[in-house]
Amino acid sequence: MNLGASRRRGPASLWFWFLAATLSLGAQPPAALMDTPVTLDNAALTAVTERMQQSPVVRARFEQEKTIKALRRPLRSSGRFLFARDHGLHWHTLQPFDSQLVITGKGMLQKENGEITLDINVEERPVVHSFTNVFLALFAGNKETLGKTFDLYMVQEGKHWWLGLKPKQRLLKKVMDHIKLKGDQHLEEIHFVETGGNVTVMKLSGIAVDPPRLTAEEAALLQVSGG
Amino acid sequence: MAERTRFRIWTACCVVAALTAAWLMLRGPWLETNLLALLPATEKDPVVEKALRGYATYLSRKWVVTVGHHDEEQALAAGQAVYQAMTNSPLFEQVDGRIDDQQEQAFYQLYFPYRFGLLDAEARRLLSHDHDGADRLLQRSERALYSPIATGWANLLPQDPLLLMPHFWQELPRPSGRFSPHRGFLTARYQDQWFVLLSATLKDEPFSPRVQNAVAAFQEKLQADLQQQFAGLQFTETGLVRYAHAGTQSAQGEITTIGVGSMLGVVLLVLSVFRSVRPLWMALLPIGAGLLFAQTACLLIFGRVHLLTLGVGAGLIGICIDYSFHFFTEQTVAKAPWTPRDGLAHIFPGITFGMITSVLGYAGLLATPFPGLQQMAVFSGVGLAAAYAAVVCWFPVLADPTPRDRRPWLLTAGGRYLRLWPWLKRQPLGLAVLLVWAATALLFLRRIKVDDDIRSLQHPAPHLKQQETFLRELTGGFDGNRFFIVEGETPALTLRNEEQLLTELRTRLGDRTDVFVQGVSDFVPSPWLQRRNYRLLRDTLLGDDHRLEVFLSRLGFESEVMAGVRARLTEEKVLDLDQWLASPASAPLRHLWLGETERGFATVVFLSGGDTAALEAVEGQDKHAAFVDKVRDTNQLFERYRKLASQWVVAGYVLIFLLLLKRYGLYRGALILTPPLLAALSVLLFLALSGLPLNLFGLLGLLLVLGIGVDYTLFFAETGATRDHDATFMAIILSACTTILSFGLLALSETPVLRLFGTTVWLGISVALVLSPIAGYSQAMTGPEQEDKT
Repeated sequence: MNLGASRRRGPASLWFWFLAATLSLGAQPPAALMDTPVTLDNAALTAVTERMQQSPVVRARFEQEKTIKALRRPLRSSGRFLFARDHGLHWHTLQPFDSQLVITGKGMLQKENGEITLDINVEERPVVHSFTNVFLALFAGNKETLGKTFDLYMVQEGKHWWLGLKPKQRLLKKVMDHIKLKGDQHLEEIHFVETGGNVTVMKLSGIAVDPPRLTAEEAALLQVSGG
Repeated sequence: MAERTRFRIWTACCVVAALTAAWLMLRGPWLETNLLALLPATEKDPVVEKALRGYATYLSRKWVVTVGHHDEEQALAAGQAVYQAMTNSPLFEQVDGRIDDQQEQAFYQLYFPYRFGLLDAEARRLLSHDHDGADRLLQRSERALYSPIATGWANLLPQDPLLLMPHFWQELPRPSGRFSPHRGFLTARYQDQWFVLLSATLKDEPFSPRVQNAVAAFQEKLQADLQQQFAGLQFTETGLVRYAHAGTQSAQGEITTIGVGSMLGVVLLVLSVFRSVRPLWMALLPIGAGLLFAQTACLLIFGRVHLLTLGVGAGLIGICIDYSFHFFTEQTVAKAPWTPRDGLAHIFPGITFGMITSVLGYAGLLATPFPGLQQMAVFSGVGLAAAYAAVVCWFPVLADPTPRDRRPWLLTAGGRYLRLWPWLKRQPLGLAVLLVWAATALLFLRRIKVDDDIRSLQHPAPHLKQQETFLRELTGGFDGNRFFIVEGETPALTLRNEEQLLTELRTRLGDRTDVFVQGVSDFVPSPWLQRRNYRLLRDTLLGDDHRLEVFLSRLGFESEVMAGVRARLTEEKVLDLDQWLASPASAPLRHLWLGETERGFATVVFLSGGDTAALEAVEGQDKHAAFVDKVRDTNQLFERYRKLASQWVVAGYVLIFLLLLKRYGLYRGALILTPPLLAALSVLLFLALSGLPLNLFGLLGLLLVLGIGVDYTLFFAETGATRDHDATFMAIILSACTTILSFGLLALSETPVLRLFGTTVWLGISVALVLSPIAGYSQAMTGPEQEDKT
C-alpha cells in the first residue's frame, strides 16, 4: 500500500471551504469581542443558541464580499440562502455567475450553471465530514459542536449579539484566524478572518422562517448524492 | 586395520563438517523463511527481474496498521499513540501516515517553482483541444476565486493567479482508497467508525526469525496497550513480516512434530525389534551424520537453509535410518562365526546400489530452476550419502562383534507374509490382478485434477488473512504482485513512455471505479510534457489579444503579477526527476522508480484492480511497457514444470528399467520395477478418486517413490537366490515403517504442497512395501527350514 499521494495539502485546503461560506460588507464588530471569552454553560450563550434553534428553516438573500490582499478591489457576489436545521444548507450564488453549493450531513455538492462540478460523499472524506459538521453547527447554533472546535467569545450589543470563534486545532489555526457571527433573533452576519489577512464577510437579509417546514422544491435542492 | 583408518577418516570428516556448520550458523542469520526464495525468477526478462528486486524488497518491509474507533478523538489519539510507538521503535526506518507541516512545506518547495509546467489534465485538455479553451481556463480560475474552495490559496495568488498549483495538487492520484488526510493523519470513515492508517517500513528484511519475533512482540505490546487505553478500539494490521512470522511459527511446529515423531518411531521400532540399547544409539549416528552434512552442504552452497527444506529434511530421518536397519537385521539373524565386517559385506552391494539410485534421483531435481527444489535435493542427497558413509565407516568398529542368532517377532511375521509369494507368483490370476490394477489406474489418469496455483505453497493464517481483507476494503486493495514496468533509454524518455501508458490505461479503464493506476510521471511529468505545457500557456494566453493581461487587470491584480507570469512562462524551468527523488516529498513513492538497468531506465506503474485481459491488451500495444503479474507468471511456470515433471517421472522409470535390464535381464528387471510402478499408479488412482489436485510437488513425490521403492526390490534381488529373504524383508519393513511415519507426519502439514508431497510418498511407499516381495526369489522365500537343508 502506498501512502504517497495523500500527502497533499488536504486538511488545510478543505478548511477553506469553511471560509468560503461567508460574505458581505458587514457591520463593525465590537473591539472587545475577542477579549471576552465565554464558557459553554454561559446563560447568554445558551439563550442565543436556543433562539437560533427555534427556527428549523431559514430562507434569506445573501451578499458576500471577499477582500483578497492580492486584488486591488474586493470580490462581491450575491444570491439566495436556504438553511434547514435537520437537512442542510443550500447556497445559491446568482451574481456574478450561477453557482450552487449544497452542504448536508451526508455530503457536499457543487453545481455551476446547473452542471455538477463537485460531489463528495462524507463517508469518503473524513475531513469533509468534520467540516460539514462544524459548518452546519455554525448556522444551527449548536454550541456543543462549536465548543469542540473553537474557543468561544461573546458580547451583547443592544439587542444584537456577537459571537467570536477562535480555532483550537493547530491545522485550522493555520488557515483561519477567527470567525465572528452577528445576530439577534436569527444569524445575520458571518465574518471569516483568515490567518493571511484575507477577509470574507457574508450578510443575510430578508430572512423568512415561515413555513417552518421545507417545501417540496426546497427539499429537492438539499439532495446530495452522498446519501 | 583398514576399518580403523576408515573409521578415523570419517570421524575427522564429521568434526570438520560440524565445525564448518557451527561457524556458518554463528556468522549470521542462516534460516530462510521467505517463500519466494523457493521460486525461480519468472524468466520473463532478467534485466527487469534484477531491476525489480529493490521494489520487492521495499514492499516486503511494509507493515500497515489501522486503528478504528467510533469516536473521532479516540481514533486520532490512538493513531498518534501508534505513530509514537512506531517512531520510537528501533525496528523501523520510516513511518508513514502522519501528515505534518514539514511534508507540506517540502511539497511546496519542490513543486511551486515549476507550477506553470505542471498543468492538470483538464487545463491541458482545454488548451490543446478546445476552441474557447483559454477563455474557459480563465473562467475556471475566476470562479475559483469566488468559490469557497480556492479561498485558502489566496496567499498564492500573486505568484499563481490562475491557481494552477492547487489544481495540479488536487489531481494527483490518491492510492489510499477510503483514506484521506484529516487532522494530521490519513483517516477514513467506514461502517460508522473512524479509522487512522499508519504504515512502517522495517529496517531489516522480514525473513529473519529475529525480526519476525521482534515485530510480533512489538505488535502484541502495542495492541495490548492501545486496547487498555482506548476501550472499544479495533486494531487491524497486515504485512509480509506478519505472514512470515506465522509461517515460521507453524513450520517450526511442524518440523518439531515430524522430527520428534520420526525419532520416536525409530526408537520404538529399534527397541521392540532388536531388544537392545546399542542399536538404538548406533542408529542415531547415521541420522546425526546425515543431518549434519546435509545442513553444512546447504549452508555452503546456498548460504541459507530454507524452513521448508528443513521440513522435507525432517522426513529424511526416516530414510537415513534404512542402512542401519539392514546392518542390525543382518546381525540379529546371523549365526556364529560372524563379524561386523561380514555383516557389512553382506549388505554392502544392496545399500550401495540403493544409495546411488536415491542420490541420482535427487540429483535430477538439481536440473530444475527452482532454488527450493535444488536445496531440498542437496539436503536429501548429501544427507543420505553421509548416513550411508556413517554405516559403512563406523558400524564395523562400533558394532557389538557377536552375532545374535535371534528371530525377532517382525522377522517371523514378515516371513509368514513372504511364504505367500511363491504360491502367488505361480497363479496366472496374480498376474491378471496386477494388470487390471495397472489398467484401472491408467484409465483414471485423465480424471486427475491439476492445480498449479503458487498459493498452495502457503497457508496464510486465517486471522491475518481476515485482517488483510478488511484493510483491502479500506485501502482499495493493492497487492504488489501486479504492475506494469515501463522502460526507456533515458530518464526523460522513460517518463514520457510512462505518461503514454498511463493515459492509455486511464482511457481504457477510466470508467472502472475499482481500478487505480499511479506512476512517477504523475508526480514528475516528463520534460517533454512540461515544455509542452509552457508552450500551450504561452500560445493561448500571451498572444496578440493579451488575454491574460486583460483578465488579470479586470480582476484587480497588480501589474507585477502579469510580469511575473510572463517571466515564468519564458524562463521555462523544468522540474527534473533527480530533484523529485531527492525531495522528502517523494519518500513514499520513490520506490516506484527502479533507476538504471543494463539497457536503460525503468519504472513501475502501480496498479490495483483491472482485469488481466484488458491489461494484457494494453501491454500488447505498448512496446515500452510490460505487464507483470507475479502470481500468473509463477503459476504458468509451475504448470510448465508440472508437465515437464510428468515426463521426468516417465523418463525416470524408463532409465531405471534400462539399468535393471542390464544387470538383471528382462524378467527380473521387470519384477524389480513392478512394485514402484504400481505404487506410483496407485497414488495416481488415489488422487483421481479422491479429487485431490496434482501439481509439480506431487510428481516429485512420485519420483521419490520410484527411488525408494526400487531400493526395496533391489535389496531382495541383491540378497540373491541363495540367502534367506526373511532378514532382508524385515529390514525393508523397518525402513518402510519409518519412511511412512515421517512422510505420514508431513502429510498432516498445514501447507498444501507439503501435504500432497507427504501423502504421495507415504501412500506410494506403503504399496511398494506390500508388493516388494514380488522381486524376491521364490526358493529363498519358503522359510528357514528350507535354508537349513542347503
